[in-house]
Amino acid sequence: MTADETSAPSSSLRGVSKEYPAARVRALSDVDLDLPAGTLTALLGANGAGKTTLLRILAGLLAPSAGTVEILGVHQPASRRAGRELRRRASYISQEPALDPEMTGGEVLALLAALYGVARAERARRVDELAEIFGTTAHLQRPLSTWSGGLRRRLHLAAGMIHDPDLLLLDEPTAGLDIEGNDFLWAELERRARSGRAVAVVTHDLAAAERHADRIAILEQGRIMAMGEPRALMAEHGCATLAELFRRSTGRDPAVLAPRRGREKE
Amino acid sequence: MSSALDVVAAVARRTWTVTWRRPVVLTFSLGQPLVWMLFFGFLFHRFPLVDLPAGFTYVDFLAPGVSAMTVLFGASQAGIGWIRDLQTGFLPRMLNTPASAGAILAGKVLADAVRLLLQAAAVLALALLVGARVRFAPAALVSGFLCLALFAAAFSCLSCAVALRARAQESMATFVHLVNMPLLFTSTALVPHREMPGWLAAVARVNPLTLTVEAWRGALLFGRAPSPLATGLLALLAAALYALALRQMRAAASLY
Repeated sequence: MTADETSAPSSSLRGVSKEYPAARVRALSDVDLDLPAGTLTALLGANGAGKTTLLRILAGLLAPSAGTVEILGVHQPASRRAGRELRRRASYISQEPALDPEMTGGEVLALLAALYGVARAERARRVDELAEIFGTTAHLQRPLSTWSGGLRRRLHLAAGMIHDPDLLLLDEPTAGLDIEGNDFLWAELERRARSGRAVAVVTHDLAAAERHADRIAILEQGRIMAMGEPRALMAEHGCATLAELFRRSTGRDPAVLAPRRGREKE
Repeated sequence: MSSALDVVAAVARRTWTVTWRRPVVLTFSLGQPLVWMLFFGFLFHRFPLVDLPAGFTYVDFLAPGVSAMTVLFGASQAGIGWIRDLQTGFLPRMLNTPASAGAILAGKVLADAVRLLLQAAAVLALALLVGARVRFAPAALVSGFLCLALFAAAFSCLSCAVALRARAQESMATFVHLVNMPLLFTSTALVPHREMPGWLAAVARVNPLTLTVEAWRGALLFGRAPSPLATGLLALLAAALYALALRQMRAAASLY
């Protein structure tokens, strides 16, 4: 892959706003954002800053109230055919695991591989590979109802990558993961970004964002307050840490982002 | 590209897998028609039924009816699994793949229909054990069975459509009773036409369960193939209810 291709925007938003009229909430205001191929972008912000709304618009799951959206070269709203092609190449991994507890982990991965149109000969290899990457191989034959919450979350992440998507969007994937699971996840996301995919992660983990992300975007009340390469941004604003940059950009104590514990459903 | 047949097969396999892991449901859905068969059989076999051709007993008449009733009862509950799949988010997730909603629905309905037909056959076998008699006319049996299959598919689709619309177990239970009982008692599954009051016989004539029961019974008792009209009407009903369920499927995709 050439440098030109890696820097081409995989997806972009221009002047995007989103209102939820029923709740009288303006979730996003005039957002411009590019997700270049080959980069890992972290979306940071407090609860209610608009991160999930942004991610769902990037996934084509939600239509904006204003502005233009282009996902993997497809203008939104897409035709039904273009929408299907988009779902083949993109993946939105929701915050809550969406799995069938009565199926085994292996069955869920194999079924989703079939639905994503992964070639029959390729399916078993993909299932084994992803189970290995997320450390769930030993549990694959058991029904998911017997898995711990953290393991289920790992399978949920693996399932979202079964079709090797060009665009990977993850909503707070680290919530409920143990340290090992966290390490597996960030290593895999970095690996996918290095191989030319566009990856965007909503996270509360400033330290992980600083360590792993190529770019960060800080959201506050539906607006992007800062966006760019973390070190360059910190230098530009004269901040020694990302936490300081967060405080400077949002006026909030970075402690509001402290990872939540024990919220996992058992 | 994902081949539609591949998707149908994968979803059908998944539907069966989950069903076999709930043996209680399977046992009850087989036990219930047996109870009906025995109670109705013993209750009514003493009454002379004028509509029956000479040489047939009420148990002979009842067997195809209860076999079709098993399909109706099973099919109207087919959507319940999808309420669970909505609650876990797994159905919306399946719908947010490039697989077509139509193929996913077809896989689910195919799996349910095949299971229901096996149950209908099992109920018939039980009926034979308690003394019912049938005629083996292969060509008629195949076309009668096709009508039963179309009926199974139609009502599985209806159940899925209602489940996706209601999104709650409680509403689904109401639907099941609201549909099953009136359809059963205004059909010729348990009682012949001529034993019914005039208005009821008129209702029974347009009842899809009657269409199915008559096709199935004609094949089993008299070796008579169903009319193309009956088969065509059931196919039309299945197609319409499939389209209805598909609309609800597309709406459910946004829940992911």
